[in-house]
Amino acid sequence: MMRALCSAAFVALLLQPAGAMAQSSQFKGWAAVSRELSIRLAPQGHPFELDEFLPSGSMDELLGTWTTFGTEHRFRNGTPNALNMTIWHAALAGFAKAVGQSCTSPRLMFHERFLTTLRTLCAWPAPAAKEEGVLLAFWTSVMGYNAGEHEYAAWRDFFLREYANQPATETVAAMTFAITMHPSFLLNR
Amino acid sequence: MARPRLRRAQLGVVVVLALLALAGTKARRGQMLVNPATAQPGASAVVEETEGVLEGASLWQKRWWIDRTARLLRGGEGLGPEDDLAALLPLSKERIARRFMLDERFGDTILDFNLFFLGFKSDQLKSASAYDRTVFDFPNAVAAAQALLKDGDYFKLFDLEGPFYMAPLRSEPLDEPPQPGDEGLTLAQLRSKAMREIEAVFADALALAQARPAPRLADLCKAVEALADSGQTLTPQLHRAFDDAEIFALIRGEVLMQPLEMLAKVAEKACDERTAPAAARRSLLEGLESALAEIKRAFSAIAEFEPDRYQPKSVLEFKRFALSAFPTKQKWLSFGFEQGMALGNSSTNFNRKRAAYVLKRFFCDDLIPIGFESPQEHVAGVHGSQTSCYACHHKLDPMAGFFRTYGAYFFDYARSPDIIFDDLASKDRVLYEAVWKAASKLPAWNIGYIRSARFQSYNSYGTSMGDLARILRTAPEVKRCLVKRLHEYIVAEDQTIDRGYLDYLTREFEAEAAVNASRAFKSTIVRLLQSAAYDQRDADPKRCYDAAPGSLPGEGPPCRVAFILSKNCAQCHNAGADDEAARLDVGSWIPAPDGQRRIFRHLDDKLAQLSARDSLARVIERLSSTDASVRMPKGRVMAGDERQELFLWAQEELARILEQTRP
Repeated sequence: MMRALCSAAFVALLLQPAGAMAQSSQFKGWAAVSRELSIRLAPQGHPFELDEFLPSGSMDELLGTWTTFGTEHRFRNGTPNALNMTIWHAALAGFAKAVGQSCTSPRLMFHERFLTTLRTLCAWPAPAAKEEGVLLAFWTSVMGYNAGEHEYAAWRDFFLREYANQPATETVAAMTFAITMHPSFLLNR
Repeated sequence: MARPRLRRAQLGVVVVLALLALAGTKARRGQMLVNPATAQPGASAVVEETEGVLEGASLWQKRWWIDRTARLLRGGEGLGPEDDLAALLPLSKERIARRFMLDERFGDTILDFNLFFLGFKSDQLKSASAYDRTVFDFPNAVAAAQALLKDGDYFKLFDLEGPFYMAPLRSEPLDEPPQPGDEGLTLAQLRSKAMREIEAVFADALALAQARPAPRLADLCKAVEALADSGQTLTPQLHRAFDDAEIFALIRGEVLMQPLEMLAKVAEKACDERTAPAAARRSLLEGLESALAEIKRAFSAIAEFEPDRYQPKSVLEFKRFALSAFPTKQKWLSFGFEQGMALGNSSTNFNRKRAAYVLKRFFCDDLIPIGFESPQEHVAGVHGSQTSCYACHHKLDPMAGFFRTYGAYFFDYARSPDIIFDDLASKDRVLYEAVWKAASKLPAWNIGYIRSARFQSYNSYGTSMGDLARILRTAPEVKRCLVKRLHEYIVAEDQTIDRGYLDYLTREFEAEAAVNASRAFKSTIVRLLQSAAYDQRDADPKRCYDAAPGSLPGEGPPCRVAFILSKNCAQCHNAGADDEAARLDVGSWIPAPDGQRRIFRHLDDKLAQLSARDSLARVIERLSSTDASVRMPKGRVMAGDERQELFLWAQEELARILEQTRP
């Protein structure tokens, strides 16, 4: 199922409107993505230590970075390619899995508001977890408003259909992974 | 991302720095928006001050705009669960932006932009709420950010000399293993130990001078001369407790070098046989007292930056180092350690790297070699006789002159007979500086910002860093560059901007900045946040989404160059012209003869439309010719960045055509 999600994410990259394809969209970079997730999901003042999900400590520089030393700084490694997509996949799959596992054995510290949404979602496949308000709250908590409303609808319908009877841990992980691998989440614009 | 980025320069840096020394001898609850409440999107429509009821896509779009703007204006921190999105939605975009600007984190945004402008932006300013130590390396960026938060002089960004914001002293262990006797010490303890050791060396010499009965003058002279000559021992002894950036500050502040040099001079005079013994003793005693006092004063000021005493949480908490505590007592050059690394000079490049940096960063001049107007006087030197070189060097070399006394790591050798470069070569300083001595008609030095090689009255000349700062503060090109970079920072780096719109933004900024630069800068931010380009989720980077008020979008040339053409060329090359210039109409944009492209109405001698390829080739030739009778616009000076942009556009278009027509 995760493989299908990953393929869907790649296809989503290709299905961007013509305007988006015309530009050389760049990744936001690991630092920016980590900050966004921490601001939205972590308790205030206690950002996530997401580096633990990187396959290797210094790989963050391959995901788009301004930081260098001894030369003028420009944004490097931001153009999507096979290597950095693989690193993103590995890192965010690890993060998504940790979010999913939080349904049974919490690994990450979350903000109380997100935790409330997550607890309800962890009742999946119970009907309460599939309510529109819960799904929308989860989507906006992770994605913010980076993606258009129709993107949310596609995500919701996909999980209501394909994961209708899957266990919560797997579903929440897949939901998180699908959002964080979405181009609107990863790319600058 | 709490992992601090520990940057250590190579060992070679330490060696160079040492040689230089010897050669010269929380929680943020209070910062969040008021009334924290749910940030969940509600289904209900919202009444907006200016747009009425927002529903569906409009509502979603506004939420996206608010989230994006929060992220932009709060140092990368977008909307979180503590934010009251519902309270923000009814507000106008300007009010929302102004509200975010009141947040303490807005200071981080400005500091981040300043670093972007200077070409040294980082992924993050802070790790685990502590500012990255490299941020402190850009004092003009810090000073300008502080000023902006207090509605002060934001143009401190252009001051190349000013305060020094020392970073909290390092707390992580140094890379090198501790020396014998230093094992087990924390870095703070090691610093204290090293500084006390140095003080003790000076204190011992002073004790000898004060001893009763007094030592023999010869013995005292020997002791003072030995101390003055002990730089090679004392420097590594002190530096072992500091990292490269801190050593850079110790050297620039001449913490050890100046007292030792002073003692050497005192000893040379006092220990001369012709000096009376009593006067000699008194002189040596006073010299030692003064040297020890200088050392103690500097160490005491440095200790104020121990991390347990100093750890700023916001831009406004950045503390100035008391430069009066350094023996040099001089203003701090804004080019710090990292710029020292990035902008090295050698014995052969004559500061051209530094000049190119200033032109690129402050003037948005990328030094595209587009030719130049032939000077009215002969230009000497290899770069002067080769026009392709002179196209850049006529701007580069005079700009480089501002750095003529600065050697390796921007160390100022103005008081030294020789100057040492980053390649460790040295030259006689006076001979070296003579490169910038001007020919007859210019001021004494051929140093300045050159707008025209042919018409000197367009240029801004000076000799010092203060003069360069004055030029930066007053040059219209710099203000336009600042606004252009702000557009890149807020909208996107690769987003095309209509030059007319850029000129409009700059004009507004300049008018407001004449009263208050900080308020003008904030207003410009608001304008950009309200722009159509900023409101695009999937913008086409080649499209101009905004135009100056009153301008009419039409079927003209591409927006990237339309305004440049209108401003510089359309006066002669327009549809109504009745002379030879009428063969080119830069306001037109018609189908080319091949039917595939669009091009200017551009006629040849037989009044037949030129192909797109030939038309562009002629435009390029006219822009880049060094022959004043061919170069366009005739008899006028075209702004360098505009010529550059038009030239690049024409070249890119031509390259595309050639690529498409290749068999």
